[in-house]
Amino acid sequence: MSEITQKMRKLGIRFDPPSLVLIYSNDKMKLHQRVMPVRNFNAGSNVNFFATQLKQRHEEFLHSVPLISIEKMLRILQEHIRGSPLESILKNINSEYEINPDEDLNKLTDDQLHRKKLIMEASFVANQLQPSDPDYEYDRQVDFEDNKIESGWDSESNAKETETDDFWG
Amino acid sequence: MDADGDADTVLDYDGKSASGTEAVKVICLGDSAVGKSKLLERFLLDKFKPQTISTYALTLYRYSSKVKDVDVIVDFWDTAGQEMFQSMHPSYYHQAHACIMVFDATRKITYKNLERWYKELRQYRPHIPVFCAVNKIDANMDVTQQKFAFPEKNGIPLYYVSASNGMNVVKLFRDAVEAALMYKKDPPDVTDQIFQELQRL
Ligand SMILES: Nc1nc2c(ncn2[C@@H]2O[C@H](COP(=O)(O)OP(=O)(O)O)[C@@H](O)[C@H]2O)c(=O)[nH]1
Ligand SMILES: [Mg+2]
Repeated sequence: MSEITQKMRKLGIRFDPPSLVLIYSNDKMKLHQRVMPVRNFNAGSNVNFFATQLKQRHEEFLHSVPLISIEKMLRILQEHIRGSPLESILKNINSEYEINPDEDLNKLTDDQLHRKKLIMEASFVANQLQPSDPDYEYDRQVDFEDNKIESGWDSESNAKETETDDFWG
Repeated sequence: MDADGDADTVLDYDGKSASGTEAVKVICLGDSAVGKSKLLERFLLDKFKPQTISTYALTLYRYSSKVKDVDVIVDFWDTAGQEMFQSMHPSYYHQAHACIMVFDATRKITYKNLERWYKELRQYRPHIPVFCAVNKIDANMDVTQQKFAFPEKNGIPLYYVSASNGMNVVKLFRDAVEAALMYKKDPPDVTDQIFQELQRL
């Protein structure tokens, strides 16, 4: 496989013509832009399928880009095709792709839940110790000392602010 | 392979298995995505034979082990999407000998929902031993310095675990299996009943 030493900087979506846009830098830190057309994509398309296809077709450029980020861009495009205003698109899609600690995930459909689990999977994998790891121990036990403080999850106060992102993921 | 090797039948957990080995049922409870399945997978590694019983939206992991030199078959019951209905099918609780309740160290709502799960559990199984686990401590180590009212007030032991890095997972399951076995040998509800009968005389 050809090793291209490039670093993903930003991933975006262009509505017309529909395309995925990747900004990346090479080893000399120079920024490049790669525009990848998204063909035959419509309001009812399965974003996971299209994201997988794009990733395969542009493997060279997208191999280090998480599938979930590509999916998110395609969801923005899809909502645009459906005619939603940009403002509400960004708000809705961002909440689709983030974990809100106060959201009851029991109520999600299989698809939605699967997406949330994919997002959570990132930290699971990052922290994972497997039998092949030198620090791995099957029965790993750690005793946490007894003098603990209240968690704060038992009091009723609930201050929560939501943040909004921009177009770029 | 012995008679109990395949998890294609649900055992009668009140009795012994076909081969005469002691069999216990341990159930997992908690919100969607708290990591119940990942915890089971971490404990069992690849020594298990999962079986999906789709009618009830659950997965059964049959595990053979020894507790204090006695052979035992443990069926771990895991939900497969039934959290959606905010309640479990009664067969989920039927004959269970122990329960592991899980919440997510990164999502407060999963802790809040424990009350509801616990209430339902106690309707079906008023006396079985219960274990509580706060999972994903790898993603929020702060919780390991914290205490939680729910387990404390119900007299339930709390385990700080991570399915991802494996912390305290094996201990949690071993303790639950041992308690399940003890419960089966000496179910407190039966003794309670007898005691109540005696009092009535
Ligand atoms: N960081 C971290 N993530 C975890 C841990 N356990 C599970 N997860 C993640 O949480 C998500 C839900 O896990 P799962 O076992 O499917 O939850 P279940 O619905 O309760 O069975 C998955 O994406 C896992 O990767 C853990 O200990 N640490
Ligand atoms: Mg599960």
